[in-house]
Amino acid sequence: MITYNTIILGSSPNALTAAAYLAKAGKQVLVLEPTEYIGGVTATTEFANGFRADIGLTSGRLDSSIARDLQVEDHGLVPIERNSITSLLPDQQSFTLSSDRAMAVDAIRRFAPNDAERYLPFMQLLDLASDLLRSAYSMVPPAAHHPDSRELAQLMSLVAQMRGFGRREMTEVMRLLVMSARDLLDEWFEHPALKGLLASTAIRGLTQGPFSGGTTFNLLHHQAIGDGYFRSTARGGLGAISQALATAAQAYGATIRTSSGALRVLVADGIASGVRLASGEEISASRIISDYDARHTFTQLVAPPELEPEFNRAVQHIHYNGSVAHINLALRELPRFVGLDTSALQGTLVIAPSLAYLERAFDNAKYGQLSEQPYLEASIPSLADPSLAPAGQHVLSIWVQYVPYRGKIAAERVLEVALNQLSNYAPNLRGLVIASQVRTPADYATQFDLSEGHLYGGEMTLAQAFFLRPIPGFAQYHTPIGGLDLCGAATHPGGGISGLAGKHMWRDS
Amino acid sequence: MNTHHYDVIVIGGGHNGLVNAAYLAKAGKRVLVLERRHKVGGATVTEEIYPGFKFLIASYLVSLLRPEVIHELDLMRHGLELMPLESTFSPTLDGNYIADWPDHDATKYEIARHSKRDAEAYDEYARTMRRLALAIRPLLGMIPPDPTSLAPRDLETMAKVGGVLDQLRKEDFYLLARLMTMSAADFLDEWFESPALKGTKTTSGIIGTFLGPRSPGTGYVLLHHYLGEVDGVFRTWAFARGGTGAVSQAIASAAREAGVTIQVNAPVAQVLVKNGVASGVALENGDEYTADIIVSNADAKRTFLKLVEPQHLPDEFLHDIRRFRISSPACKVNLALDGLPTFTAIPKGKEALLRGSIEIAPSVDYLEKAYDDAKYGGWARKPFMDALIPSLLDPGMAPPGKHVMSLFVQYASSDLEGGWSEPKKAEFLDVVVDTLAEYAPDLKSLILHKHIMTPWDIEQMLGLTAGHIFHGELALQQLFFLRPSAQWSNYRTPIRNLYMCGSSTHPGGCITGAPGRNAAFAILEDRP
Repeated sequence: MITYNTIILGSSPNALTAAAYLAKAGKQVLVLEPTEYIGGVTATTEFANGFRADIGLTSGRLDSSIARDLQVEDHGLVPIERNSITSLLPDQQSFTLSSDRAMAVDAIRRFAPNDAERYLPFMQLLDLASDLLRSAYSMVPPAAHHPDSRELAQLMSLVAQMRGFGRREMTEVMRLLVMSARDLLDEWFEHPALKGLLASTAIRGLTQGPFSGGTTFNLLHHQAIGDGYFRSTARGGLGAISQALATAAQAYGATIRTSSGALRVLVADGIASGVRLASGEEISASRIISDYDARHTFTQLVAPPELEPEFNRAVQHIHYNGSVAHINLALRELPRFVGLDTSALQGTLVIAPSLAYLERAFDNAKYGQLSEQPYLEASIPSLADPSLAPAGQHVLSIWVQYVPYRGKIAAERVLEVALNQLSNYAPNLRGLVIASQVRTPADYATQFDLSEGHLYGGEMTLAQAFFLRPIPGFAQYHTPIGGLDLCGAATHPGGGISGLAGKHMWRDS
Repeated sequence: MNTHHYDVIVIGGGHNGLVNAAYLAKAGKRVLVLERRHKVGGATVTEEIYPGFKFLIASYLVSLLRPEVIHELDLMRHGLELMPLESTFSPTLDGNYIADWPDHDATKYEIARHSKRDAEAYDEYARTMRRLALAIRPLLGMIPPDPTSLAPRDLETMAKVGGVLDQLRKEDFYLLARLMTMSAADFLDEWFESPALKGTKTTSGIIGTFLGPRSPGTGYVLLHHYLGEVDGVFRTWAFARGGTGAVSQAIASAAREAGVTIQVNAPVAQVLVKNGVASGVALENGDEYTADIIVSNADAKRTFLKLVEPQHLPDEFLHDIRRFRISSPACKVNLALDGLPTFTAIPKGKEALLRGSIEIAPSVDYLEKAYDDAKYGGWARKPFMDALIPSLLDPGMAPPGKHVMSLFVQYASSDLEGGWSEPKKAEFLDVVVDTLAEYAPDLKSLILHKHIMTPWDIEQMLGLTAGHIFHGELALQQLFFLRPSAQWSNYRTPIRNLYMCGSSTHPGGCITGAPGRNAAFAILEDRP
């Protein structure tokens, strides 16, 4: 039998990135994916006859350095850009912002002349802040308390970058990192609908409303990983990114087994020695890397008695609060969205008419309830990629917030609420639905072992970022158990499919 | 020399203005304090609205007043008498209650009635918060550095800040980093399980803050209120004999003794600026006073948007002051009572609980819902209240046999939809009384007079913009070197010889005296 020196549990882009780099470095790597799909929750699957759609996340892009190192485009990855974001509004008021900033300014001028001139400087400030984040994301997070000389140099390089912005911009960026999206947008703009649209990305995947402190950080996070206002996917669906990474990893000699979930990490005197699969099969390896979130890893894969009480407490204190539900609709034909042309439909559509609307949608979630007027984000991937649906037919993917995990909200209700909302803008939508698929946080928890169904491996808040992610003192991918490391979205730089966590984990080893 | 010329003119006789004046006079400056009202104190006043009944119309308790201010100005000799509140009583919706007693075991017993686990965790929690508060206390006395500057003064202070963080033990450093960025409710969830205990403990995270307990940012406010110490005892709130007005009186007396001239009924209309340099002030009656240094105790918006003409200020700075967040969630209600109300939750023999603070904060959800009601421009249908019966601690606050009750009430928006009006004030006052009466049914029959100060009233009467008791929200982007504006957080302003000494500057609101004291040191750095 083959012996592996590294076993990776899970097959997200982070896991496959780690696998590819490790295999490239000559390690014998085995990737174990519990589901039948490579990529797990980031895969794209057939949900109705001839209709394919993403399971969880609906957008994201691989970090460019990884794409280059692993030559993913040679392995079949064809990125598709969603170059616009559209705010669905009643009475023909809907508007579209293009990733072309000059065009966006023109669009804004039509309904909010006072705000038009502010858009460019606003986006430039976001650029500075997300550049800074990107630099921080390109590092294994340095310890902030008593850093060693190497870490100190890294921290200083971030300070130097900020100084480079100029004195005014430096403090402006510092403010941004801690502000609420509401405070930020009130400072810059007047028009409620523009503020609502620009706040939408600040609440993605977060169980917070735009009034809550620190929500601007969540916006900057998405901008920094290229999954902000203007998003990206791939031909064949988001899952194609995992597919290409898998091919690359295999080309370097890694072995990937699907439908092979690990039940337990075998630990002897504080050292990981292998894994036991659901089938009972045991595989030994000197290094185990978990792509799962910290709570699943340290409560399910490893028995808490193996760990210090302090550590277990910290694991229990991680905030997940999954509140994103995902709907896929198989449509007989392209729905007619009032006042929108097909080009707008190729981008991202959101229902975020104002800051107050988003905050109200969140209010219900605080008490475990579903809002009748949730934040919705829709895309029709089959427009740019006909391979996802039978000829002339289409797939509509909807991201619904907030559907709080602890509310145990029924999938049918989520579908009903979402269809009600969208029908206001696409009156013929209901009649076109051939089949539908809904996943709530509860489904993500049971089907993909995501704690509280959170798609980002833990909320992207300042209190769970950088040297605090996933657990203060364990931000550098290692765990208290020798030979057991983390590489998933639970670790720095967090949610999304950039693959950076996997790369850092490899670099740190 | 023209008698109208002084070394320093302080605009506003709030407690920070008086502290600032006292320190500068002790350093040998000739100081004039100009107060628009008929008495000093600003928001730190006691008002006899109805004969014999002394009302705390704004601030009501003392906790964060810096010990160094008390000692350096010898405030005890000047009549300051602090009476630590001995207990906290929080009734719950089911007719039960939770309480803090001066006696440690008694407190543990009360908590254990709700949760044995919480009773065990309580000591460790108190120790940890005290450790954090002690560790960061040095920041309160610092003139904030400009992190973009390479000037020796700024680098030195930044090194000091680094030193403060460096001395923390690792787990405290992480805890502080998280506490600063998380919500008060989430933080307390990590320690306790009992809704009653979490409800009452969370209140420190929302006082004066237009955020719900579940919103990140309230963790810092929680810590801010733990910085309070009376005689070295942390997180103790004290009542000043005679009300908070007595605190101002004591500081004013110390200031006068140091040679400060205090002029009341002297509302300043404008700061006189000649080619970028502040040279004096003009009163509303036209009188002019000149001075080498002008210090404003008014909040940043009032100072730079009302008292100074915009052409004297850089656009960037004006922009910062305009965007400075200052919407207030708080009202102050005072009741004149014919006798003591009976709180049904207080068991026989524990009536002493009325002498402490009374918190209407039965659970975190209750507080969060109160915020939900108000945050879109409304008010809480079931408000949070921090109540006190001053006349029990100081009989002089009410006629014999009668009592006064002071209620700090949240949330009610300073940006109330349609604006505040007399009918709306009366309506919300009823909401407050009705809510309190749910816990003390005989309350209504005891009320002789009731009085409400909405944010609008506080602005009209005391000149605090939006009636914000902290002169600006304690939001993370408005703290330390960002308060009130980056590069201008060191009490200096873009106008030469014009300084700030109010709560719009570091370390912000509450009766601390710290801004006034720090500002004095900044001024003496420039003009020894």
